[in-house]
Amino acid sequence: MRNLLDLFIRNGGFVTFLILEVLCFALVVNYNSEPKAIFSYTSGQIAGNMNATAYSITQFFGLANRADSLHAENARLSAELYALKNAETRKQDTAFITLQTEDSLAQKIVRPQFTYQAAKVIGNSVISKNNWLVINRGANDGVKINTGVAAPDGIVGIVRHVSPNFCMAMSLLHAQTKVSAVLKNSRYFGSLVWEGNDPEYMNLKDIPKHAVVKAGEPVYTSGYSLIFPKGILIGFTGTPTLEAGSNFYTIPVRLHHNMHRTEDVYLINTVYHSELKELQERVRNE
Amino acid sequence: MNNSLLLTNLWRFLGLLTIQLALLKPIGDVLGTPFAIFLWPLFILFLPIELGTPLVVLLGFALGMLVDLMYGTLGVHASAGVFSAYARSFILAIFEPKGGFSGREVISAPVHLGWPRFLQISGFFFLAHLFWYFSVETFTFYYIGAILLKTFVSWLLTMAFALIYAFLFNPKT
Repeated sequence: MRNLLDLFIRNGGFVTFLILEVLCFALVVNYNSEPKAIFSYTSGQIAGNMNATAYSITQFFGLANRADSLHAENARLSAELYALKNAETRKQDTAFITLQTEDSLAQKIVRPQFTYQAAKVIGNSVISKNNWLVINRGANDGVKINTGVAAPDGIVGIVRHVSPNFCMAMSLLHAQTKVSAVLKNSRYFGSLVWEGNDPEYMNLKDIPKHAVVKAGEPVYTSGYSLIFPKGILIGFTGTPTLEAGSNFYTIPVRLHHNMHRTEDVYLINTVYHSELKELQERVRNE
Repeated sequence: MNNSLLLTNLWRFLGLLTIQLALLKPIGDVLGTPFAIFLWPLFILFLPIELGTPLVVLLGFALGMLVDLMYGTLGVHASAGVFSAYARSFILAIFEPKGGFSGREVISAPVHLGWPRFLQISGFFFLAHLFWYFSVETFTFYYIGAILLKTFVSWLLTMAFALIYAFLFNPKT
């Protein structure tokens, strides 16, 4: 005890000074208006900075939750972007221009040629000879047969069967699939088919052998099929092969969209599908 | 601290407090802010040299609180009193005569140390006290110019009164 007292007498000056200054400081900021204002302003700023830091930390850990809602938002915006892109291609589409002229003569508002509907794939296969997708939209949602199915990064299939709440789409990986596709640079178009081998590759047929085809050329939908609008990226060409005696290339196309990972899709409906189909039928019957 | 020393200091304590409140406070009120005169810390300076720093600091706090109550500036004078009481030990150590204080210099008064040394000690002591006081009163170094100006003006006036006090009363213990 005496040692403690000695210690205090020797070093207690600073301790006393410190304790009493802290006490004085508390009194000053509590009972004097100007120091009080300065103190509360400064401490408010410091607390504000600390709050901001804490907020950004919680924000960082909340990012995972927000990613989900952003994903939904992204799907909606992708659909919108498709519609806008399509509005651009529509201007070059002769079939559409004809309709538009008729409409403007009758002073009617032209409906878009294609409508886009967000949907989810709830069943998918890639390993069979004939693969199908199950989609969570049906007749109640206005889905019709021959509606195109596309993912954000490429086409996926074509609706073949519709029930009230669901529809079955023939996958690109189906023996009967035939999609009209065009080579970006040479502008030659042909039919894209799947011959049941690799789920990552399809074959582009009917490209004449005089066409110059380079490997790695992008392949787009041609817009001639009434199912898919023009200009959706399908994939990229591989090395063309020419069978003996054939006048047409067979070009492997590496699909841009990974068929294993089909989740969010858009149902692309051709608004004038039946009307155009009927016209085509008339030509065929002549 | 024996009884007579205690009594002397008690009288000085009351005397300085009275001078401060009855004479210097009204003068300061009339002259305005920069011309503040604070003579009461002289009590801290004239406490016995050998008194332990913790006790000096405590006494500085106590008298400072009394002055604060009268001035309505709770904590400001106390803070300055505590600081100058703590600084006193360093100032005395710096201006210690060669060979240290012999037991005969009971307090740091001119009668023991001579006027030049007393001027130096009290000069630094009041400078420390007043600078701390005006810093705490302003509570921001944003107005450091004003703080320094107030400190300087107030120091000149206070030193004049401190010398007059030392000359008139010529304290020995």
